[in-house]
Amino acid sequence: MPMVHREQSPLASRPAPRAARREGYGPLAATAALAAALVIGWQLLVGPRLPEQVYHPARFDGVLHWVAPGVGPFYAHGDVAGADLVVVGDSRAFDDLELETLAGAGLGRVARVWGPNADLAALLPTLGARTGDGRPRVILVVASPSLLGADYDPLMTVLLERAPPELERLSLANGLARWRAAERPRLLAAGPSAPEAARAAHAQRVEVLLDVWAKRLADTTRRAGWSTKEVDRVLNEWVDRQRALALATVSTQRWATQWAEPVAPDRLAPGTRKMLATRDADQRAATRARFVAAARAQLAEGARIVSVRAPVTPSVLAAEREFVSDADLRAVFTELGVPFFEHQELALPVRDGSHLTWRASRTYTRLVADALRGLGLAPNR
Amino acid sequence: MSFDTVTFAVFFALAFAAWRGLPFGAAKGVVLALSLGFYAWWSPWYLPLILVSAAVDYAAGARIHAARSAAARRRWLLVSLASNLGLLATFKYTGFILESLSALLARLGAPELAASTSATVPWVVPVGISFYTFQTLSYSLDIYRGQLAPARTFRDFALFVAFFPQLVAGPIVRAQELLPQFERRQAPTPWRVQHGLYLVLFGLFAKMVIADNLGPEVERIFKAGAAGTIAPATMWLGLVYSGCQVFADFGGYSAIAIGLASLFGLRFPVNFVYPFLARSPSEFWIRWHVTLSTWIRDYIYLPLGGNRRGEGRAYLNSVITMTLAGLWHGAAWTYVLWGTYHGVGVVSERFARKLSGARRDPRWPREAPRGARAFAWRIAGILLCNVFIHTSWTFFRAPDLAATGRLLRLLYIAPFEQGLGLVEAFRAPRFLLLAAPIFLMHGVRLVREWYGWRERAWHRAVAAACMLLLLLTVRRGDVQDFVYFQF
Repeated sequence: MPMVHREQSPLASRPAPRAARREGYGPLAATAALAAALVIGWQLLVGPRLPEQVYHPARFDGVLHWVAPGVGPFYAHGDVAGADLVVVGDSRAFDDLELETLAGAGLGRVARVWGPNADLAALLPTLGARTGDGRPRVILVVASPSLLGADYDPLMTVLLERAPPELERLSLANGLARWRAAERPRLLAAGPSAPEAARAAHAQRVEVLLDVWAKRLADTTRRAGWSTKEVDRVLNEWVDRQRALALATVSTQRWATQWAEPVAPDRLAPGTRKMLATRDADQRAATRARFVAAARAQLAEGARIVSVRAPVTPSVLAAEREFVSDADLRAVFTELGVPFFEHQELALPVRDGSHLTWRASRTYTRLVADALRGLGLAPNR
Repeated sequence: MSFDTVTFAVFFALAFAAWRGLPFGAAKGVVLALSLGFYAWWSPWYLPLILVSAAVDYAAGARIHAARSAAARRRWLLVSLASNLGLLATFKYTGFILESLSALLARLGAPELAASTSATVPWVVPVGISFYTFQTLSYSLDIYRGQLAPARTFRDFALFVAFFPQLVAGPIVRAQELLPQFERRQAPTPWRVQHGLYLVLFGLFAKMVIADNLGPEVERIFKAGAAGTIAPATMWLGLVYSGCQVFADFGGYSAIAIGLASLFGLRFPVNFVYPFLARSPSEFWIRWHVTLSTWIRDYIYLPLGGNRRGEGRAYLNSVITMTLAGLWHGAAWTYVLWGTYHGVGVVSERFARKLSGARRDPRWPREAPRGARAFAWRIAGILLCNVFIHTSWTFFRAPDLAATGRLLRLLYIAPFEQGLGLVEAFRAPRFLLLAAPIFLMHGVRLVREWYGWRERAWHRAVAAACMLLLLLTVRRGDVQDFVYFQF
């Protein structure tokens, strides 16, 4: 068996050498000066050459907000039940509006519930429903044509057929393992039976989906009660945001998208067309009616609703207009009698045609905040 | 609470102020309370566990010391052993034992019995249980052997067990090392403070820049490797990344722990000494997780007889000891195999030495190799040992034995069937950049060891400034748990 040598290592605690015992804090001061010089050099020389950070530095996918079987998924950020303003909508509600900026603009406590291709008619009744009197005062709907129906990933639909389990924090690992074991065969059965390559690809997607959802379900347990993890997360995200605001940062996990796939204004146009083409006029009319009914119910409960349509690129806008005209969408909010701000043609940097870059999202959020304050929606505190 | 969170920075400021600002007795009490809070931050439900464990060992230690007869001393030692090993067995190994039993019964053709034993345990392994039980075990064993006097107060003993820098992931600090340092507060000398800060910075850099950024790529490669959808060269690269990630993660944690202790004026033992410079499996364990390897040497290998009972028994003892070290890491057959693999490596090395008649090797050659041939041999030794070490990550990281088998096949058989696939492997060179600091620090160390190159203060200043810059600009945004928390 190994015998340990009395070895010096920078990872070791070692006795101070005689000469070192006499040294003062000179090396520390030199290190600080050198580090400051390096940071300034980085900012001046490297910073301007780095591409814009297109993603929010501390994007957190959110805890699971379970709406109904087969619907969603929806994710919640912040305390939805206790919020003054809740932002709801599809992925643009997640990407284009920054909660910190809305809260900083004096709009009170802000939260968000969002889902890709969100079915808001299913979501709206659940806001505040779990805590009784904790209904939000103002609901900001980020509207897009997907409000009237769009396609979901079929595999995701299978996953969402069953409500997620209640997980105990102390047995989280075991609970998640059980959940995975139960879901895997169901998801695999939803895939193609042949050919072999398609089955293998499907199996790989199933594993990815299980991984992603296991993480979401782990986050969900935070909602079961006060969690110290939540404190860590909030503090860390705040520091991260300040860091990214003050320094040119590089996210190694996103090198591929930041460096090799810079802003691509038309990237999502074909996808948008494909997604909206899955619904016909009758289906849209039915979804519209459900949404209007759900929104009326919220209005009747005393909530105020405001809607915005976020900026997109001309190619994506053209794809959307093939299925839902601007007038059709406008008519929904006219019928409800709620303010509707149409910003779809606003010229702001859009990273993929459908979602703003991080910097642009802050600009846009300030614009929306001004509009909300203009309506007198800031809480009186 | 993790070292790489803002919460911890606030917590540490409080603890440091208390340690330096209060009278020493009160300071120890406050830091003990804060340490328990540090543990409870993860889960308050397991706080009684660590307190009960500490209380039992404190009482057992005092009784062992005071006992007049050998039988009484043995009895109290058994109480301590039963308490510590019982805790470990219950919280860490129950699920593993039930699962293994269930699998065995199923194989023996008793499916009903197998189903009845396959219940999943309703708890997770408490953070740090493997570390603090080993610390408290060494306390009782050292008192039993007459090598240590019991702690004077329960406060000091509880602080030794729960002292937050080493509580959840080591280094495994023994009572002999730490308790005497609680007798008198050390003054914060400039050297100690700067050394501590440097280690903390190195640890944060290693964890947040290297380990956290390499982690997802390693996970991706291992999953794809187990599914057989990547080329062998990519898998080899994944193994190297994996080694760098685990070293940066665990070595980083140890460095932070040692650095924090240094700021408190305390000395913690070495835990990592450039492990990838090892030229043999046994040298690897001199350099890797040193506090564990010395613990298992002193409390398992030597009591088993060490190498005093003949060559064959020494081989067996080595394999048993390393297998138990593997099991210590995790309750799964993959970890058991990982330990056995290292045990077989150590034994093979010893056997080869015996066959070749080589004298006991210096293992830690400080002198430069003489001539190109010697240089090449030494480098080849390091590379070969790295192949051995990195292969072991297939056991360490694979979810089950079947996946380990698939990974080993991909590494050692597939290259002859389908080629290495070098082009695919190097499609994502950015991760090599992340591993580069690990290679660099080992390279610099190699030169220092062989050619006596001395480290100057300005070397550290440059390294620290670069690490700080990268920590500010490149680190991952979200908080990732340290790998060794699960052990």
